[in-house]
Amino acid sequence: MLADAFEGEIPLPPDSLAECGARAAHEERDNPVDSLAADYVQLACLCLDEGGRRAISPRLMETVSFFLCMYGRICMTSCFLNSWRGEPLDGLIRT
Amino acid sequence: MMAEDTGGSLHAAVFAHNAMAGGGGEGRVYRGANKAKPSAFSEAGGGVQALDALLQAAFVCLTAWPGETGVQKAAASTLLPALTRRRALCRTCVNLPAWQQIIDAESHALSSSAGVPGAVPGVVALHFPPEIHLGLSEALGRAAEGLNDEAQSQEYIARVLTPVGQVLAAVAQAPNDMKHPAGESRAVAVIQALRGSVRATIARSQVAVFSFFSQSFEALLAVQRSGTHSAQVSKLILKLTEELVANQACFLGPAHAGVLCRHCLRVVEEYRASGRGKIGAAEGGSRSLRAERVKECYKEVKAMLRMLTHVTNSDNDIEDEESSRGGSQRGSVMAAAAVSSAASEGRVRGGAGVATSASSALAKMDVAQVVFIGLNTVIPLITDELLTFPKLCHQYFTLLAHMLEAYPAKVAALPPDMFTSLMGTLEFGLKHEDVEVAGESLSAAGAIGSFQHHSLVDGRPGLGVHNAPDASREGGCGILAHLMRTVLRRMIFEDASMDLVDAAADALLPLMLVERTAFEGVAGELLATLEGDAGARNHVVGALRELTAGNGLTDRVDRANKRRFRRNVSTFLTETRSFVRHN
Repeated sequence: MLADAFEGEIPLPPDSLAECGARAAHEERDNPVDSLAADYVQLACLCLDEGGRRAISPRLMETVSFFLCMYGRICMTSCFLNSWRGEPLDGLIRT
Repeated sequence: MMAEDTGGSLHAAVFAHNAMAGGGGEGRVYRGANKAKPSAFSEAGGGVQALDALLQAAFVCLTAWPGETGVQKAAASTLLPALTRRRALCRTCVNLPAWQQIIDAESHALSSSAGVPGAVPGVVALHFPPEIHLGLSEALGRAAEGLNDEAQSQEYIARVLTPVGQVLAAVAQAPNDMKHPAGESRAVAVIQALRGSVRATIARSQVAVFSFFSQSFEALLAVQRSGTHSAQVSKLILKLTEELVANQACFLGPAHAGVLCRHCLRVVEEYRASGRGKIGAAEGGSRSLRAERVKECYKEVKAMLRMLTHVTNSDNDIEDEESSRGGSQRGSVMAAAAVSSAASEGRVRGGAGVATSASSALAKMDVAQVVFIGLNTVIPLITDELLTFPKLCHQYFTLLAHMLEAYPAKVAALPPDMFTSLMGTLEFGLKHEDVEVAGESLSAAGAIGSFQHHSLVDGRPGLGVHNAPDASREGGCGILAHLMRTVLRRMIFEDASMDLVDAAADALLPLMLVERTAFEGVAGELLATLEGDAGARNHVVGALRELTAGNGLTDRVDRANKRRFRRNVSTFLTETRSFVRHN
């Protein structure tokens, strides 16, 4: 499981995964969560070209997009939010 | 908005601080903070490319396997919503070419749905099931969150909604097509798409969405008219109106709220004119067909009740007793709020294209009146059969309680037949075995009672002739006395639990203060049942005295007194039930 349905304002990756990612960064390895997610995105990208699409069944694609949805909701959101740190806030607040 | 954007980094900052304090942070959690290189999927890292890939994948899911609704649904109802719920993601989405592809796919699917004559030959017709339109146009609408500029977001919404508007106009202009299943499914698709964009209403795009809808009201009514025979179209139109009110009401100033209210009223009237929702006793033939028909009615009536409930939210100056007494603080705050919202609307009005001269007249559109006219339409449709659906029952009594609390004076001014039917349903609710329904009804009864009490104290007429004694009722009493009698009977003789005691006490206090003689009558009847048992009789007399005078009860309806009275009622019921019930 890479992500749980976090019942809160901002979904966050589960603690165990965040910890695992942090440890990887500490040891200067690739973040295993990120690389697995990247592989998933690659898998989804298979459908983008004509040849690959023949290999993928709609059912498989359904499952992949379901995973990507969970992933997008939790990991991507928090990564995007973190990368916003330090940016001036005046563009974000609507007066 | 702030919470969303600072919350995550605050969290990260806290954890980063902890990690530093802990020295090395082995075994601690810190998320993405303190890293020299950006994390893999952040905006600065590969996030944008990943998002682009996901959007393209979603596009392929939607278009590559026509007829595979499972994968289309996965893309439209799970993947795209997940990518459009955060501003940072939306901001990236709307600027990607893949997003434009998705917008085009949706408008193409909508216009080619069910063989519109304008469909280009040679191009593969794209067909989405209705719920895909719903999910997709909601995601498209939400992406407007990512545009900072108001003009940009208006332009974006226009780009998304214009194709929908064209199809809607085409549907509205061809009422005969609706008789054909293909025409009906096209209407369903376009209504679902509209529902999606209504659900996606956010502060940033609200103006543009409202302006689109205010120009489409006529077309929507035309669709409703031509779709009277279709259960699906009628239900969806009502749901669309309900969602429109629910999502827009909180943003609208008085003038726009008036426009919306007027539309609701027309929808309700159109529904009444269509004659749907009435089930004849012999209609339906077989039992399952009839059950189906009842269910349709239930859905439509429920949507209508919910719509009316939401309409009350768009009211900017709810009449309350304090402000009607003049110059209270709350009244002035409300007036100030109304002025400021009117001012902000001035800014909106130019773009929204709502005629300024008309809006001042419409501003007087009375929300309470709309709701009561709506209720008058709905009440005859609510049959015993429909009230067996708990959701509908709750919805109705919640609305009733709200109306009696917020607009008692309007209730008092209703024509007698309408007032009688309202009170008839209230009595039904007071006797209802469901605790929640009974609780709502009790608070409604309490509201009307305290309105009458305050009116009498201030020397106003209050309910006036509505409360006149009626020989057809038990004891020939007025409506309030009758309600009090109903509540007392339920509490003393019928209910075994103490769940409703507090709610009943709140309702009984004003009713008893207003109808003292009637209460004495009820007390007399109660004692008469104990004739011949002097001990019990004395006990009940004591309990009655304690009820009306114990704990320093005064003859005012205020918070402190209500608290005292709750205690009194609870003691009274424990004392009395054991003596008067003979099971």
